[in-house]
Amino acid sequence: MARASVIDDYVADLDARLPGGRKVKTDLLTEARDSLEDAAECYRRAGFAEHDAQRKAVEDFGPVAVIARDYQGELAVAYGARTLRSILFVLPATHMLWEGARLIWLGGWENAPGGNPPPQWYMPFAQISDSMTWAVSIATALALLIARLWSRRTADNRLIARCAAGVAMVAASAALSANVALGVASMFVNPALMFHTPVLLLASVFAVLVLARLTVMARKAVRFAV
Amino acid sequence: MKPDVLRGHLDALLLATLDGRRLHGYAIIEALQLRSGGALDLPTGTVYPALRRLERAGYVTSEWSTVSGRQRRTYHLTKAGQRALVQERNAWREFTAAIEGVLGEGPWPAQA
Repeated sequence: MARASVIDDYVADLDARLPGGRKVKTDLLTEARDSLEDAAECYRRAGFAEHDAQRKAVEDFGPVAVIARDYQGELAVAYGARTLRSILFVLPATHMLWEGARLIWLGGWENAPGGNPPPQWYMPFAQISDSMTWAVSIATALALLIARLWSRRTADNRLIARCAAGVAMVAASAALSANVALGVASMFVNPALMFHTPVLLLASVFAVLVLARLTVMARKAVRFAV
Repeated sequence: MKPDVLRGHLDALLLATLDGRRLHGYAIIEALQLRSGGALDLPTGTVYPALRRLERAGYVTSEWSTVSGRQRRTYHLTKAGQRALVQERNAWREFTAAIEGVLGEGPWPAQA
């Protein structure tokens, strides 16, 4: 059983030290195992016994604590970038879905039930809240671009990961807060609106759930990066 | 050679190793060691996160392919990677020329 144990133990130890996205982690660990097996094969060809060949391959690969630090940086950057990409594509899509549902099921705002015009503060508040979607999308697009360019200038993956996760956390939280605040304000201003068009209520709940999911992803990105 | 010294040049070394060819991770490590006469002895595990970083930077691309009957991730330079390698080589030539001028054993130029 000694044949596979040294490399297996090393990869298992590395695996246990790496919190991160499953797909990228599996990819990294598969590549690490391939490399270790290639190295062990070289040592076997050079005349080393199986156990010694594996031991030397693992020694060449580096101390697991040191290697795990580098791998964790890469995993954290990958998850941070994935979160930013999700925010960039999902947030505008969710916003347009809600606006599409409103146009189909309600039409113009003049068709809103209740009759009374909204208070003066409501429309600027709603516009700011709507603008948040596009502001957050632009910020995440810029963050992705900067992360790519920054990768050319620094080898410090953890620093890039922290910045990407920080931007993702702020962006997702801001979008979620703006959405919830607008929903609460709309209920306060015109409670009949949502219940008059249940599809809008469903679209609103769906949007909050999507934004909450993005915020959870951003929180995980922060956890992987620290 | 000290790993800390090598780390500062790792990106350029990896780009140079991939110049004009597709290699999987361990072949890159072997090529580095072969070309340096064994002097470049970084922990091999540090090479893979560096390759991923270069990929994220747009300097290399990779894909899984079958090499010698096994699935391996192979890497090759992009156009941006080729341009970066040219810049790295120019910077290195300027650096070594400047250092050689001081550390080399030739005569010092006469002062004006």
